[in-house]
Amino acid sequence: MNSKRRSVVRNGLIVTVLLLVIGLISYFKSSGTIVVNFVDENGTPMTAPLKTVGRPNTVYKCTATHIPGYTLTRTHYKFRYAYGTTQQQVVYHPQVVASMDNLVKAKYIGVSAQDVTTNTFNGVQSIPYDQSDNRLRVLYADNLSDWHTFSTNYPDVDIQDPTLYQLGQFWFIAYTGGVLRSTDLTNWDLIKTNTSPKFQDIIAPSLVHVDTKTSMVFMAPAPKGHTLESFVAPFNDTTGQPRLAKAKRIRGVGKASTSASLYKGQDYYYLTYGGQASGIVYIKRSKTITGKYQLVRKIVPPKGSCYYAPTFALNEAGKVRGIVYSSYYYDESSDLAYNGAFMQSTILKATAPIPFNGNFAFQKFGVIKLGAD
Amino acid sequence: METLVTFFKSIRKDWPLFLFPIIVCFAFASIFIGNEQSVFVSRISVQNRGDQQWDSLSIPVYQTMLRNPTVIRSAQTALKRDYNIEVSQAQLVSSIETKPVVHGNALAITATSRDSQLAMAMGKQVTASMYYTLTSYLPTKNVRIDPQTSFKQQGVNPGFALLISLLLGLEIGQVLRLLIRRRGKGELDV
Amino acid sequence: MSSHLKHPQRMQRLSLGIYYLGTLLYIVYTFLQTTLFSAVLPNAAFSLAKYLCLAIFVARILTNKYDDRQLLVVFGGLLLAVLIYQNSGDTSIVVLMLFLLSSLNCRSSGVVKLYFWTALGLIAMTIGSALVGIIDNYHYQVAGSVRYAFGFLYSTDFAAHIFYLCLAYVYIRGRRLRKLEFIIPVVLSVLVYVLTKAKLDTALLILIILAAMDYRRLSASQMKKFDRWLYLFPVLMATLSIGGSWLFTPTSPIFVKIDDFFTHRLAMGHLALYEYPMRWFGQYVFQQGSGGLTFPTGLTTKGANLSYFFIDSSYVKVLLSFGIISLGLYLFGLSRAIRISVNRQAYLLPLVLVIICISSIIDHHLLDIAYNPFVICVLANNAVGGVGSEERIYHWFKRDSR
Repeated sequence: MNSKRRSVVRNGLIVTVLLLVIGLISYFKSSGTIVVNFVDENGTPMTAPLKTVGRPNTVYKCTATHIPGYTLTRTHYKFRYAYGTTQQQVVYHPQVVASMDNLVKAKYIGVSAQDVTTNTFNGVQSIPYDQSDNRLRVLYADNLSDWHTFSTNYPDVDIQDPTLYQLGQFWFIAYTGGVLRSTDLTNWDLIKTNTSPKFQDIIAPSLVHVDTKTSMVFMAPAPKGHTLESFVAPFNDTTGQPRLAKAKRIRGVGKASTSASLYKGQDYYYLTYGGQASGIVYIKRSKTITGKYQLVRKIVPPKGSCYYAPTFALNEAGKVRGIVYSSYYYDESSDLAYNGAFMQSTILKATAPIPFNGNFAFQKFGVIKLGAD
Repeated sequence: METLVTFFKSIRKDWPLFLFPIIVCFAFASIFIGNEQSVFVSRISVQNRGDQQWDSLSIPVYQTMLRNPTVIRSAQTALKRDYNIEVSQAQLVSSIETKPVVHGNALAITATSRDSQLAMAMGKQVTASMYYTLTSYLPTKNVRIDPQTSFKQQGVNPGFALLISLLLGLEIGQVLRLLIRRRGKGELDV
Repeated sequence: MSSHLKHPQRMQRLSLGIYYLGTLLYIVYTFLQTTLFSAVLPNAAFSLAKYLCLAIFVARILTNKYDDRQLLVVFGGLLLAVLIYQNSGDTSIVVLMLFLLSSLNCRSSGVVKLYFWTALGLIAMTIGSALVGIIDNYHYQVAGSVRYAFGFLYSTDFAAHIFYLCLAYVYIRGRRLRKLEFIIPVVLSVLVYVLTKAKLDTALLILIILAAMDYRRLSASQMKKFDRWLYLFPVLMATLSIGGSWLFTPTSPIFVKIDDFFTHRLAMGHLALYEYPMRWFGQYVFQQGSGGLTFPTGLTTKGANLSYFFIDSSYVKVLLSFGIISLGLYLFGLSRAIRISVNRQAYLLPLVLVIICISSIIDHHLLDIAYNPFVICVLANNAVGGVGSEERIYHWFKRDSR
């Protein structure tokens, strides 16, 4: 072996060692992400997805948590990290019949939306990422401060501001962007609201009985300007669409309000809405459905928190049984946390609010009292 | 001996030697151009309670505290609890960076990850964890989280990618040319 | 361009002139940044000087003449500069890199001479203005003793300037150094110790005297005994410094003793390595020096001054802010410079570089032209004596072809 060949061998060795070092370092620096989605049979997220980061080709052992009312085919999973992001699914099977039994016997039924981007801890929802992702939840309760989530397969659509409405054998759930219709709360008709040139955004709708007919109360950007105004329009329960051409403006709702709710009492129409900046809930009444509404009462939040999305809680006969509103508070460490919902059992005078508790943090909450009073 | 000007004139003869490495390097770099990192930045500022002085001089101390195992550990458990995100402490440490803001009033906490949600959650949680640690350590000072956070996608700057692949290509081309010259002279023959 | 092709000699002289001009400007403005003139002069002046330097060095790189291998160095250096700039966003690193690259093919002795006279003048000016009162003369009270800074930001800066000035003096004088001139470092070291209480810098000054005396005393044959290992010195020192900082454990009594001897430099280095990840191409490292001032942080009860975060070891600093690759290349360059000089039996430069390598453990001026004019030894022509100006660097990888 002459010197030249030896030097070639030596240089080759040096290069190999260098490449080996670089390769090893980049191997130890590389990472893969596993996203485990916990979904029901419709593919609707049940809880926040689990994200975990690890070295590619290592195994991550996952134990799926128990969710009451749902069964799993197995609870232990082994996932392997790969380069990049891998999506995995854990499917929960709802025990619908058992849950339906409980629901039918319960005193109250309600709807709310769960933010499935983050977890709830001690009733406080952590700050969502830049955008929240909400899924419908139907709840039932005998005791207002103890709500149980109805276990079923929920529709996989983003639901915000749901309100509940009963018409014969049908349940209607109106939300921003559409209406869900169901007879058994398991099979859902998804009806997207058709917008009109005048009403391009239908925000926070709710359905209401007015003189044996159904109407939809909703907010929409005013034709001029950008402020939101409230409107009432006839609602066709067969097609599931409001007749926007016949929509009338409701007068007497303050500027910059959050969703409004309405019901017809014996002498008056009652309207409630939340002030967007102040967080105060206003209850107003008027002789006609379109107003002008006059102030009856205000519910003022404690300092630092904010009330929003008030709705009237009715019974099955359409009589009012209370007012439900939600709150959030602004944490000092900029933790925006939904602080759940409250109910006062009278409209015209203040009573002690009953806080709602469940296994997630409630946002807007719509309640119907079941059975006879 | 040649200047850079004469060098660039002379490589016109051997253009494939230089052009192809440049193209290969740029093609390689273009893999990373689409591969964006998400960067989430939040800020914490510390103010003396008495004289309302900004506590800019101690910012490096706080910077050191951020890597403190207690801060990282509590951020880790909070991430699991609140966001359902499981990362090891080493990963958390490696994806969090601190920088003093240039005028020195605040400590910027930068969380970087390929996944935008991971970056955001880690940034928020480490900031919160840092906030609680600072408030417990510094009872005489006002600790504040700046509500303004910033989030951006950071990828390879195409300009830099072009410049780097240009220089790397020239380097490789020159090595090739030298090698070919030496082979032509028979220096490398065994 | 055609004019300089007609007059290559003239163009080269012009190019070298540009280089010296840029170097002068670079030394002056970085030097002033270490003094309290930085508080007097507007920031814009420094920025202007920086960008002027940048332009001058670019002009020099464009007009300089290279052989085939040096072209590789130029492109590689530019590549490294771009990568470091992309990672750290620090323009001063780009200036330093371009300065190093533009020092290809010029004599390090010339730059050292230029540095010596400039620094001498600037030190005299700074001390003068501090004593007259144009700028503040900070004095720090640490553990009962007073340390004067003489117009520099910290008293250790002052000591380091004196140290490198002495080193440059010894290098310039070389064999002509008289016995009488040994008094200069002795006097200076006594002065530095009395005025600044910088123990380690004083020790280094004494080291210079020893080395200079040894250099005169030792014959070439005696040097030969250990010169073969001399070139490993930079790597050894870097390993010691980084490894010591890396392995430092505050609970181990041995480490604490060593750390006390080095006035907490190991602990600081450990903190830095903990704080910042090692990157291939560096990052922005924020430093907060207080030079012994204590700020009430309200954090510690034991009185440890935590607000002082300053990486004192050059090796750790280069590793973190310039990256692994740069540190590797620079150490390689230093070793090569030492080996080439040793092969020529020119022992002065290796001795100077070895002293700098030792001092780099305890100070952070390895890549700081304001202090260390010998940065350019990595790339410049280190030949001493009256060899013709066309002489080039001896390339280590050329051995095969010869």
